[in-house]
Amino acid sequence: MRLPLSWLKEHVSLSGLSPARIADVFTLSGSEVETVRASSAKQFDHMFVGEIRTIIQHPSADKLKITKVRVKKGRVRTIVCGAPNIKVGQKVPVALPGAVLPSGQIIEALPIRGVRSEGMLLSAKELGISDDHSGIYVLGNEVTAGETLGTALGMHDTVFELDITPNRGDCLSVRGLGRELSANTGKPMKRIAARVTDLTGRNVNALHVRVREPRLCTRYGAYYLRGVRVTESPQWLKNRLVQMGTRPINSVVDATNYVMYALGQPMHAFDAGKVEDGGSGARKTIIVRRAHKGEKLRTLDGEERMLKTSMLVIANRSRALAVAGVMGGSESAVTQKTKDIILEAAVFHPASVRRTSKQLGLASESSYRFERGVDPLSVEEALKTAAGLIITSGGEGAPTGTPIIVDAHAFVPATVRINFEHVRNLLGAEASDKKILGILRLLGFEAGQVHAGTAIVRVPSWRNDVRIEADVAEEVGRLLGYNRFKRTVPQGAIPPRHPHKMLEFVDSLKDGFVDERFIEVHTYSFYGDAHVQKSGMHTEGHLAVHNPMNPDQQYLRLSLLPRLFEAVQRNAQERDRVALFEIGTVFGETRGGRRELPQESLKCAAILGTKKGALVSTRENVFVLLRSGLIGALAHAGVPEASIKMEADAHLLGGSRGAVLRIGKQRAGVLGIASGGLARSWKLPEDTAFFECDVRAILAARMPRARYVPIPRTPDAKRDLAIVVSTKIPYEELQNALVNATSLLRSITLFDVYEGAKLGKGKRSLAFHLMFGHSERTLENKEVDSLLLEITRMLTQRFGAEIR
Amino acid sequence: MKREDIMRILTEALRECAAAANTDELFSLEKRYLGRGKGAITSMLRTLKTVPVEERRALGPLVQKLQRDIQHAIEGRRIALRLDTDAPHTLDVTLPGISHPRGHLHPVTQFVRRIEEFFSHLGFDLADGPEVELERNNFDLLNIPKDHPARDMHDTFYIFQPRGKSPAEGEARHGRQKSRLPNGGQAKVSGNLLLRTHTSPVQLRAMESRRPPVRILSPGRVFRHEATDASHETTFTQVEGLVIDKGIRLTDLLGTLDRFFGEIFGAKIKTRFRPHYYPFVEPGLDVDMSCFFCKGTGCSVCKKSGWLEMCGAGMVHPKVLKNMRVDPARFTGFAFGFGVDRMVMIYYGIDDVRLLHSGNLKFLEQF
Repeated sequence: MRLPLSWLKEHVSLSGLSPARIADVFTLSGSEVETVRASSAKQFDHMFVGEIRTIIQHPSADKLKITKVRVKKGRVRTIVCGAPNIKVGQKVPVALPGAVLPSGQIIEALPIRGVRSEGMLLSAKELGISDDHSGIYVLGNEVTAGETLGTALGMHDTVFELDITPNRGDCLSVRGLGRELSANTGKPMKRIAARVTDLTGRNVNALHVRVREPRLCTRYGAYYLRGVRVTESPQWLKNRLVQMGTRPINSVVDATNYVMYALGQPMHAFDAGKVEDGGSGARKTIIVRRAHKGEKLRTLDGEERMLKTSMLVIANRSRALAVAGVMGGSESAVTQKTKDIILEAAVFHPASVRRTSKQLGLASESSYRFERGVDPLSVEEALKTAAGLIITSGGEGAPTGTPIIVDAHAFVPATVRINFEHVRNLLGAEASDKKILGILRLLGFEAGQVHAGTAIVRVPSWRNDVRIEADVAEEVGRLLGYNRFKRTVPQGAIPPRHPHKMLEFVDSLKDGFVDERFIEVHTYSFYGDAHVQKSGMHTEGHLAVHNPMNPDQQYLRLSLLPRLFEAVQRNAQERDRVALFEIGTVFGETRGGRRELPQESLKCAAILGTKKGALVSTRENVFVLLRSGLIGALAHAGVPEASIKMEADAHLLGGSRGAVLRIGKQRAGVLGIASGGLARSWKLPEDTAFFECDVRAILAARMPRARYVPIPRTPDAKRDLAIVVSTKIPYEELQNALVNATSLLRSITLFDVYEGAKLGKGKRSLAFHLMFGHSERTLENKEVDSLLLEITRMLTQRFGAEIR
Repeated sequence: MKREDIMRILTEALRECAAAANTDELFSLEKRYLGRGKGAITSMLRTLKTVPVEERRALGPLVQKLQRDIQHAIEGRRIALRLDTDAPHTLDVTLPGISHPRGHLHPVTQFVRRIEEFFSHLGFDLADGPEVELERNNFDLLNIPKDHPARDMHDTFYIFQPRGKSPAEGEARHGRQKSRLPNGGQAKVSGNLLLRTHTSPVQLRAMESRRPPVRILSPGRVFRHEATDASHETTFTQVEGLVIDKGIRLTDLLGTLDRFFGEIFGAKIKTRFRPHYYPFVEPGLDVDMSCFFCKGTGCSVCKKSGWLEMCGAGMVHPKVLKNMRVDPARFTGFAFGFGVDRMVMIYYGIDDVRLLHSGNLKFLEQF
């Protein structure tokens, strides 16, 4: 909402208040001032009001004319102009040499087709006040030639731009903001008597209004004016509208817009000639009803609208003339030819206007205000003010008529019972009953008798946001000023704590990955078809976003991996090693019920990518490295390696090889090496491994705390053992065999894996450190040797192992 | 054995020691003087046993001192020789260390932890909830009715319910084209599933299993249907807090948030409270923090105002308390919520919000 200082000044006394102070008062009372634009007159330097004295045809150009324009006293300039709408006697904006237009164009005295032009006449677009470039912007007759253009256009003015919250429809007008300023500063409001014409007494009573939907239209006011002269608005009024960002149209439309901005009451004007008579002598009839099925209306913006039966329209006996509260129809629009008009000021149901506006995809200054609620008591004042402006602008004619107000529901002011102690307790502020009532009076509330610490307050008609005691407390609080309140902390006892196991586990898991030199990324929760395809996934099973703004927001993620692959791709060019992880929510489909939420689960995913050559041995392949990181991170979070089973699987994402992770019998996740296809489509580094698992599943395997195991008092006896076995025998089987071979084996550490031509195809060498020990006594060397012998024998017999 | 002899040996030994050119020479010198078998001093100590008692008493300490002096001289020379050989050639103390890439927590995670820690000291429990929510929980139960302009404050992503029964008349349908499902068919749209626009629904859910007094903190990912640019994101992390108890006052909210911003951004930070409208609180307010960059004097970040808007807050609306099955006549409460991404940006001086979800390691490695 824009607010010109000069206009505000008409409604409230501003003595002693600087624009900066006014901005502060608004901001700190809840109507945030976003920008303060000081006078913009400077951009009109070297521009003046000129009066066209003569116009002659340019001798060497058909479309150009040579004008003589009086700019300053006695000084007449020759200006060449090509606009079609210039006439002798017009007051027009003139840019003299030295002026700089908003477009950046610098005006110079130059010959145009052989005639020297000492300046330029300007269109509204060239002035930067609208995008109208159809002709020269003709100024109202009341401006004087020689006046600076900044003054003539009312640009010596500070304009505030305010962010009005949706509950404060009453602040969407100059008067409403004036009230706010007045209540907050104590400066008095001014009574505006001027420009209101009361025509009561010249009643022709030739109009009939029928409201068929009293719920959707609680009040309808109409004013039938006959013999109106539709002209251009006076310059001051046009200037106001331009300041508010609205294009002046004609004296009738401009008056309705002016009243809307001044008083907050949206208005509409119909050409009464299009509201046909119901036969000779009958009154003109306005009907407020719902649209008929299949009814259409061409709105003022030229669009043909298909209406729905839920929508409220203003109609004559045969068809809709306007979408109530949203926009008028083009057929009944007021034009220069219009003689009789019907002015409308009404109160439409906020939610209904909003629904209609959304369904039509059509929003207006009018619908904006109706959605937020208008003051029902401003209807009559709005009609009279607008009529007064129209008559004054027209300058002649004797309009006749009187406002007709149809009240579906008589207005009853809202009341709220307040308990002064409740108000003080809610705010934590000291304020006497008297102080509280004083504040409410400043805001236009009226209070009844105070009885037993309570009072009933009557809410002003324009405050549809105040309905309960807490609302009243807010009014008291904001006028007391929150920044003058003391600052306390809650006094009550701290409630019993309930640790959030899942969130705590996620934290320790994240720390674990960081310990393993992984970097945490946050990626979007959406992705698109491209992500799905490149990752070798299917769109099936994904939840779809109804209103994505780009193709990358089409689905909710079912896996963290596609976006992680993308992140690896982004970074892989620049480094030898990329190690990323993310813990986040993924979304499965709903089962379909109305109140059914999708299956959400928390996933943990990591990717490790390394350039070829960065790895040194078979043992150190990228799969093992990622597995090591994963095991380290899980250990940090209290999940023992032994609780996770790896089952070989060659059909992971995009045909990748790797393992399915199981915890108990549950499938918990996957760990794999990116297949060639996956690596190509995502341009991944040569060696890339990925991991993803369900966090809840691994949380189940967590040891709640470390358990101390007594440290052996007897020394370890260490032996190394290297064997060559078939590559088809998984390590796990060998390890199990070793563990089961003797209870005196304390630990097994695999320290080398080798495959090579020397060993023959399908063979590999595995080397272990074996630690033996007895809990009671020190093992003798020969005992250990015989244990080792037993083990090697067992390995040879069961696995065909050769000892190296 | 004479005192003069001892002094002579000492002088000689010190001279030789100083002249030793390398550790080998020093080693043989040590052997010659101090060697266990044939060392000169060792033999002197042995001879000492044969001299008369009085003389021994006088000479004994002298010889022992001689032994110590020579030992010290040799040690000193040994260190000097090593430094001579090492220092100028192989120890450049200014060479940079070898950096091993380390892991990093995302800056938002780090910041959420700081926030959680502050509120944990005040006795707040953590709570979380689903990111896809019912329209009812995200809006209706929070006093944001359908067809109310307050919904304009929340640009919302809606979700298809592929096998939904009768779709509700939702905001999503208004004025927007029907979207197509991946399989090409027209889908029925139900407005009642959406990506939550704030974590306030978590408070409703948390209150299903709690009774006052409660102190809850709910961090989580939220979504806004907005075109992205340097200062707008579809996805960000929000933290909301809720306190309900007997006698909770607006001043408690002011004090709690004032301390919070002081803790996170430094004690010199000032806070300011402005009335604002959030349908689920009454009174509602916005919290400004004195600008972290210009210290309140006015700069481009705070748009010359000296203040940065940080947080929305207020006293829980009686209707919302009722929706939580809490009696507004007995209990009052406050709630607040802020975007962590914005705090992170201000704290570290990040000028583009999109970096936070970019996965750009050059960015993430800085934290």
